[in-house]
Amino acid sequence: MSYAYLFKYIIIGDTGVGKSCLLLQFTDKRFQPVHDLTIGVEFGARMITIDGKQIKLQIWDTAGQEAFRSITRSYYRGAAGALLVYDITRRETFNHLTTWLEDARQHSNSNMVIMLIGNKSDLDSRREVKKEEGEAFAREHGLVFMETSARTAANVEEAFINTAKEIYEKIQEGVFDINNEANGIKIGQQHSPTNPSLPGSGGAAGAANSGCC
Amino acid sequence: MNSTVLEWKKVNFFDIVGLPFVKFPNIEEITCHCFNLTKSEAGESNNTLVFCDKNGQLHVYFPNWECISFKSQHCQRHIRQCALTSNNLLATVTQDATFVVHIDIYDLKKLSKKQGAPLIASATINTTSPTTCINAVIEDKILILALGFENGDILLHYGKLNRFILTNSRRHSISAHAINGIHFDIRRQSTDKQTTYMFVTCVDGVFCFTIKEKGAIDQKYILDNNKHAYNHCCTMRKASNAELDDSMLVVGREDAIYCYTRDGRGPCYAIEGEKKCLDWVGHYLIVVVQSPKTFFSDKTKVTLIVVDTENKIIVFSKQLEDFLFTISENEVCYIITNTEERDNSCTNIFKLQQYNTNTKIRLLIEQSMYNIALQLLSREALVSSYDTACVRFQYGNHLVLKGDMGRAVIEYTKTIGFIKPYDVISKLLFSRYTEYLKEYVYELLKSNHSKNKHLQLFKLLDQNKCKPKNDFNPGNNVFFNTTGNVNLDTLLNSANGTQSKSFEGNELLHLHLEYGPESLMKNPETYLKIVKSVIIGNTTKNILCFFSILSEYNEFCAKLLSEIIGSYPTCDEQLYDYLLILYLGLWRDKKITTDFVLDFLNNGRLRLEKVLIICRLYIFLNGIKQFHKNLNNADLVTDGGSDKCVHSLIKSYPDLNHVFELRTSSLLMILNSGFRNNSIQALQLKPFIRESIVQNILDSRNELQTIENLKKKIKKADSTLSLYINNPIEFRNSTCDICRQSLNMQSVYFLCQHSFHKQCLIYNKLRRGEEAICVACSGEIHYSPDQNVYLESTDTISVISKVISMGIVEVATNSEFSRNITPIKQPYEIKSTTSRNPFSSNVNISEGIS
Repeated sequence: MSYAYLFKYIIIGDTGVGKSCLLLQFTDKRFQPVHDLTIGVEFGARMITIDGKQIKLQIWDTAGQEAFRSITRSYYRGAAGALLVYDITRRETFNHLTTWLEDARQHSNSNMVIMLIGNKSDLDSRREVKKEEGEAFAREHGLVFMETSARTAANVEEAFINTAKEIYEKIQEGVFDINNEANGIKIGQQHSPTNPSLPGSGGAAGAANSGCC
Repeated sequence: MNSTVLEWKKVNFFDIVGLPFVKFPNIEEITCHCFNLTKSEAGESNNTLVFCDKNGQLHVYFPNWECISFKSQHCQRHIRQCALTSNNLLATVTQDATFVVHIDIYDLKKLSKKQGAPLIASATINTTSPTTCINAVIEDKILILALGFENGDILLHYGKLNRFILTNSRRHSISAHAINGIHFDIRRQSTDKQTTYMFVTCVDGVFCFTIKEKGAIDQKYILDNNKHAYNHCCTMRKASNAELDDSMLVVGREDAIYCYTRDGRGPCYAIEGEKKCLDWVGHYLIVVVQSPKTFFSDKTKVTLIVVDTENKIIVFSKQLEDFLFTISENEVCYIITNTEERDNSCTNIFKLQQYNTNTKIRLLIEQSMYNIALQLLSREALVSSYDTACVRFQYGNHLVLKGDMGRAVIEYTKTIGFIKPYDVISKLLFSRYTEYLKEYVYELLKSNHSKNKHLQLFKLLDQNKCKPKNDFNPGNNVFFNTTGNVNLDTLLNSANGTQSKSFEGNELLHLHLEYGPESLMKNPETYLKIVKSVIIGNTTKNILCFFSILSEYNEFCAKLLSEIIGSYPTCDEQLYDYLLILYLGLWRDKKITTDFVLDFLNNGRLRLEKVLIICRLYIFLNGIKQFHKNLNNADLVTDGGSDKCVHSLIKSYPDLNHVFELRTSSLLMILNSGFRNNSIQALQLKPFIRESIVQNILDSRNELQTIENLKKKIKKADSTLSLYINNPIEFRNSTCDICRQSLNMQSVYFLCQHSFHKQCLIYNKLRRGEEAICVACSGEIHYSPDQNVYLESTDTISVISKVISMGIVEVATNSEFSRNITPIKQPYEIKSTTSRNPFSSNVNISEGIS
């Protein structure tokens, strides 16, 4: 299916916070209570509509374990948006946010939109991190904040779509260099040529040198 | 094995099977290989495999492993690369010392043993770099061929094939580093429009191009250009559903395996190590990882790993020696090694063979991977089948054990219509699961598989709302009041030997067993009152079970039991036995006197042997003495195992010999009591139990050995069978084995080296698909002259002439002849002893096996 833009996302956070479940809920609209550990990087895609335009979201769901950190880091650079996830029932996952954020800022492009997600909001009885604490962390670091539940699907769509909206706004403002695919944005064939943000020709990194035999 | 592989879940779905019947070219001389998948008009898949050797010889293997070899046009040079299209066009590349490249295209459809394959196009190009890789595909008569070079260039042909390849070719500079993989992805956008993408990997980059007419390329997308991570090898994963999926380029690097779509990076599979080759076979990714050389062995070892990427599970992992390369063809993967020794059992080609679905499911269930088992069944289009229901039922049982009742019931409800409702209901017959049982029965009633009794069960469950569920509070008075109201006066019945039904099954007992100890701890007085009211009003069946909860309250129990016995003297004798145990416990604690116990022993309801055992266990010697005089009448122990046990006990306790001289049936009671009693050590009973266990283990080992031997025999038989099937022999008989006339008409040759005229065999009567069996070997034919010839004539010459004439005329023409004639004379026997059947040696082998 053709699209106007392709946005690439990365989901990061400690192991067991529900990154894969968020992706599954967003792409397949289902919840899997028992999920195996992610080994490497998993991948999902879904089309959404923003401002009447078809936007394809390509999402990389990374492994939270330290052993796979080097693989995860290699994915930061090509992402336009990041979902930084912690588990509201485990304080330590919230405490590790600073490390994750530093890592993301260091390896990604500076314009990457980062959304802070407090997952497992359905388990309010076991809550260890208050919503206000999440909000404060997000305010302090200039992030967008949301509490979600992959189990009940609460705020899951919103989290992904709001991030896409923010990226889209940045494109409209000309903040993103959409000609550089390393920023995690790709222009599709559906894009209107009258749009002022359209790249000159093709959006490619330059055709290869060629010569007739 | 590297650390990342250890993170994966593992199960074994494959086996490596040798193919000894394949006549393989000299492995040392193979320079390159290629294969394809073609589909016949009937929809059957056919694969063609080509090996090129250092002598310029091309070996073409067909699906039945028949091989035709022919010389290439440039036979004086090595063929460096080769590629095969789906319509069997073979492209070969040779290069001379000055880097001049010769591309030849052969048409394998016209391949013949005598003339080889015709050369239909060729080209000669001057280059400055060695070639590194090639790929070719054909789509709607358009040949797309790309040749990669070490200097980072590619030569691309795109267009209809004509004799001069270069007219539709262009050279492109892609990178400064060697190209090590080229793959194509053809996306059909409408019936008459398609876009061809070309993925190119070089040592440090991954690129994607859109291909235009005459070998031009439109756009270059840099999918990856990590200068610090080298790409070892790559393969293409074709989209399983072109509407939904993208094809993906799969690239092996040191740290992991990375996938790329046209839009950029896709998933990544964390498997560390130097990747020797990657293949995509069906749903599985095959990875060959180089293992480091060990101190003990000079041989290069690799680990072959098969990954089910959908289910994130490693389905095969094995270390191999002398590995050369893999050849994968759609659903099949062959492994080529350069093993030196070659005999019947040793081969250079192996097949990676999948287990059948049943075995896979069994293996997954053994490792509690129910979700993957269900996924696998769904992949096999068995979502709504008995097999799936069985897996779901077992999954439900597993979840019940884990305490995840909600999900267990979801799985159980999906088995409705396949699994008997009784099987599920029996799993949920526990007071705590009432609500879940109700949920299941409700779903059962909604389906068409319910019966009237299920409706009754549902009504019963619906009425029984007062029963606690998960949030049961043992201190809750409601519970005590509810259960305390039970009123069943059945002690008299039990005294008559008829066990009346215990109230509402064992539910109440289960509740007490589960929550009783806690309640007893919290509020002992109230609980003891409730228990008393329950026991007094309950059946005798459960009374003793209730006492196990009250093990700390012997006095209370003894009092209660004596009260019951006092009220119902004809009750079950077990109650008397238990009361004796309670009294002896109290006697030991000096809470009651010896005389009190002896008075009780005078009760006529107590059985002699039981009294002796109980008294012996509590070392109540006065009781034993009192009953000693009756011991002469007791039966002696006869069972072997029991004998040993009893004799050993007698040795240990010589002064109590008479106590153990009891009936066999008492052994279990002795053991049961022995473990509870301090005076008899459990260790003393160990040898007797161990003896039988050791015997069982030995028996099992013998059986395992037998199974192993049988497996070996089967394997050997399989190997022999494959030799028979795949090694046709060439022979040319001159005469028909039936009529003995020369085979100048339509003839049938059998592998057993018998040959017949088609007419003689009544071949036209054999229906298609019916097995054509050699009538000589099967013994159906009996060749003999008519007996009347001998009976009617005494003239020798006349007899001979009649026999000969019949052989020539009748046998050759009369199709019914073979049924009428019977064997008489040796010279006409079909099974000739003069010509030796070369299979006879094989027959010996098979005889040996059987």
